[in-house]
Amino acid sequence: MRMFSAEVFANKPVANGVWEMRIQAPADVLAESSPGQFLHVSVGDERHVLPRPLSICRIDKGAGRIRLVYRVVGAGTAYFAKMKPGESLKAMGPCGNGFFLEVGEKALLVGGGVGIPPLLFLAEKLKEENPGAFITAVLGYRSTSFLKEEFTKACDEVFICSDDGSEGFLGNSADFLQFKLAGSSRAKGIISQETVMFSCGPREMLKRIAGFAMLQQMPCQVSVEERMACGAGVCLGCPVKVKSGDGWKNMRVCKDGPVFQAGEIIW
Amino acid sequence: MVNLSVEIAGVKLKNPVMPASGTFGSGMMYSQFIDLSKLGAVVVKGVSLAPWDGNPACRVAEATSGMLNSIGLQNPGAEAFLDTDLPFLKRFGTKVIVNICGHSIEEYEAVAQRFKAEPVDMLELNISCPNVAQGGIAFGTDAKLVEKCVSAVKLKSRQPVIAKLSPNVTDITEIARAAEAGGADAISLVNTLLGMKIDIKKRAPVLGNAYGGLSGPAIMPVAVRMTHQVSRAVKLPIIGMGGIASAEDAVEFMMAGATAIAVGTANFKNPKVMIDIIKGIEDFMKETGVDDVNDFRKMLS
Repeated sequence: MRMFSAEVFANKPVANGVWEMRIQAPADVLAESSPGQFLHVSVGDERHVLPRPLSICRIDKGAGRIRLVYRVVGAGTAYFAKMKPGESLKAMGPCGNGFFLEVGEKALLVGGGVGIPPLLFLAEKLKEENPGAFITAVLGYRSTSFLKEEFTKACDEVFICSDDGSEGFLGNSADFLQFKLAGSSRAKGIISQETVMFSCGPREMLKRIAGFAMLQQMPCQVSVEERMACGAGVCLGCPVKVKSGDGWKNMRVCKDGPVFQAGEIIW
Repeated sequence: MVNLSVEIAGVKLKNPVMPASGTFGSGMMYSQFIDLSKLGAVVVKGVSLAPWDGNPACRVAEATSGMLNSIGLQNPGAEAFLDTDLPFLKRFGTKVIVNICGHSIEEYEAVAQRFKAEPVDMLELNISCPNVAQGGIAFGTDAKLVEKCVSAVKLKSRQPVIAKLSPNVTDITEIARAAEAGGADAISLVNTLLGMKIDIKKRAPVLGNAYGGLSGPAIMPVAVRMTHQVSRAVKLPIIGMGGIASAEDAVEFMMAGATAIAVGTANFKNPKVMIDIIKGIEDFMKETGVDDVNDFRKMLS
């Protein structure tokens, strides 16, 4: 993890309210980055005192670029969306612990909204580690999909869901797992204890994915979201309750996570 | 050569810049970005006798030119701090100020007692945290309790005691005088201003605890005013804080009467900001012909 300045190479919308930014980042930041980690990106004006955690969608080592896919949710991300190629931003990263690369024969990636982008980096890494692995992705969008073509390239099978029914299955990715995939005959091989699940998305979705994984006795890692201040494990602003002995303890999403085993979180 | 060193209650600091408690942990994480030995002191996150769990999420939210927090003084307790954090900090040869907290006067006393034989330079009495149900601000807004708490802790401590004051009071000078009467060796101010943010789409408070402490540049004029008032009401040295993000901000606090200053929220955006501020103060002194940083607090017209 280090602090660095990066030049914006490209910045464009990819779906309604969702943007994709490519930044020119230092080589050591690229080398150190792993799927599930994030960059803590400063908003370049004085009104915004807190950096924003943006997950790493992909790295392009050849060109020295990191791609960040983010949703414009407030003034800070709106500021990012206005940035033009050639402008510079300040960031810290890579932050946090990414997914533990459990490379089995089968992996099931389940994403929701802007929880989808880091799973692309993960799919590529899993394939790199084990080219023979069969990777299934279930991607849930509000409406228009994004990154679909790249997931189709990186995975063996991709299912699209949308909250408004505009594309694929009507419902979110947790609905799809529960009501569609688990019941389909060709999915029998995927829904098994030999398949490792990796998930990233809104908390309510992750909670259902964790429940599904528990029911099916599948190993499952989840990348959780929380509002953050420092992004470096200092301020204790982003707690997540995890089991500890007979009770629980707070861990830090930014430093101990954002990836946790689904079974250790108290939802 | 300009003089940047200051003295607070007999403790000499190489410069007047330190982190505000809670924004720097115990320095371990940020030591990968900055050299802790360059700081005037390290003020660590609040330490209680036993571990505290803190408040439920969501604990932080941004406000215009500021932020709200409701951490609730989560900390692993004095023993964990002494086992891991203090030995780490001692390697840097910087002054160590431990912020201590409790739910009752007895708990504050017990923490002070626990640190009596330990190599820390000063204790900062946290009687101003707005995010805990008992202790904290409940003590810091009642002049009689402030005096009682300070004098009780003074009896149990070997180190100089800094009373950290809350701005959430009608008359800050009354509280400062009570701390002085209780025997405080110094005063730090301000802690955060109690605030609230509402998510109008969810029709609910953003913070899990509903209310939280506002910090950052948004509160600086309030903090400068209170520093000025307190510096004229008591004889104690003051550590001023509240929204400092630049050397110019730091100088403003010193002109208002602060001997030293603390940087809080600004660390989150730039963990190296205190180093920039130290350099900036020195540059400003050279540019404006000030030889001694201690002259700032005597020059306000």
